[in-house]
Amino acid sequence: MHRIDKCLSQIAAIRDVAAGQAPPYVARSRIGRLALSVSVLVAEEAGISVPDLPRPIRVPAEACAQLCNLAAQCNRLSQLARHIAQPSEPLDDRWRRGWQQLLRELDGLDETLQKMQTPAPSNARTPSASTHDPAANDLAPAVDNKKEPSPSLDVAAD
Amino acid sequence: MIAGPAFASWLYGSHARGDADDLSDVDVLVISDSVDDPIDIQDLYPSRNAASVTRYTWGELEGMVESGSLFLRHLQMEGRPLSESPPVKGLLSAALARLGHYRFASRDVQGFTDVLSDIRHSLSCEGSLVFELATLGTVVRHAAILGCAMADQPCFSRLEPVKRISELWGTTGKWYNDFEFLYRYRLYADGRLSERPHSTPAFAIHWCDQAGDLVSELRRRLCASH
Repeated sequence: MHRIDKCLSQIAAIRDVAAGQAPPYVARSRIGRLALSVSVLVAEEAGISVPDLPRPIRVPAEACAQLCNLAAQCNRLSQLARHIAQPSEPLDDRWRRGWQQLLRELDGLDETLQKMQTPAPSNARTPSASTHDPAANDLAPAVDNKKEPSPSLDVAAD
Repeated sequence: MIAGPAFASWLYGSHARGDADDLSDVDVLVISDSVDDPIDIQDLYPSRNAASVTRYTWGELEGMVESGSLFLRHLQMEGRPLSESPPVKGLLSAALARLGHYRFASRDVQGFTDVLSDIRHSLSCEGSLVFELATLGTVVRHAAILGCAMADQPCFSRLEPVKRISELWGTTGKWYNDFEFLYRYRLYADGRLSERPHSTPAFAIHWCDQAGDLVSELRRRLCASH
């Protein structure tokens, strides 16, 4: 459970940015750190090699629905972060809209992690169609724009 | 291919400066009415397969001009147009000519400080050494870029800002020594370097201290300038 607690505290740290309690610049590394922690969690649960960098998570076909959901949520979050963090200043609608979306993704991820923390009842079934994330088996593809978002000092190009 | 009339695309970064190497990516800026405009970068810069595309809208551009965006300063210094549609031809150049003084230096310094604090915390909690070193490389470079801009010596290349800030502040070598090696973690994390650099916790701690000194000096100079 230690790993899940770590992810939950990293989610809280990202929410601090959205709430204005930390400058936007920190968002990208905090999101990257969360994505990595979730990747490690998924890898350990699925018995695949543990990554040391945040990359799009690919779960084995035989992985349970919960892990698939988790991976899909994390991949969507990472992709969204790349998009919204690009504007240099929070002056525009893209930034505000993007944060709302990102917070929704964080809520979903939070919920999935909380469920994983709660021991499932012995007669638990796999998620029904209504609760199963339809995107779970449609993991976000690798983003070919490699540049990290940089909300404040947007000078990542070298 | 290029739908919608009002777009401008510019090349910037190492390929625009002419100092690209094997580790360089192709940096392209696209400004249009919507960031979702279907503009295919392969049509704009067909000689390259992998371009790193940054997209802004014209509205966002105005906000960035007002805040004196360092990204636009970067573009102003070394960017060059790839393609501009007739209705907006010259518009980006005109916007760059109106670029004001950068307004968010204090906030950036606070951001650097917070990121360094996050890195230290992560390293103390068994975080990924590679990820934290890559993040450190980015922070050090960004802090140096801001320092150079504050000194009216803007510089945006991969390694030069750190060297220049060391020289400008009379601390030759202090931050530049080993920075090239540190930045290899960033390149590796970005997929531009295939071989993972060897890493040790001691190296990470050393660079946390170095970066902390750099950001402290930046803060001190910023306060003094106010």
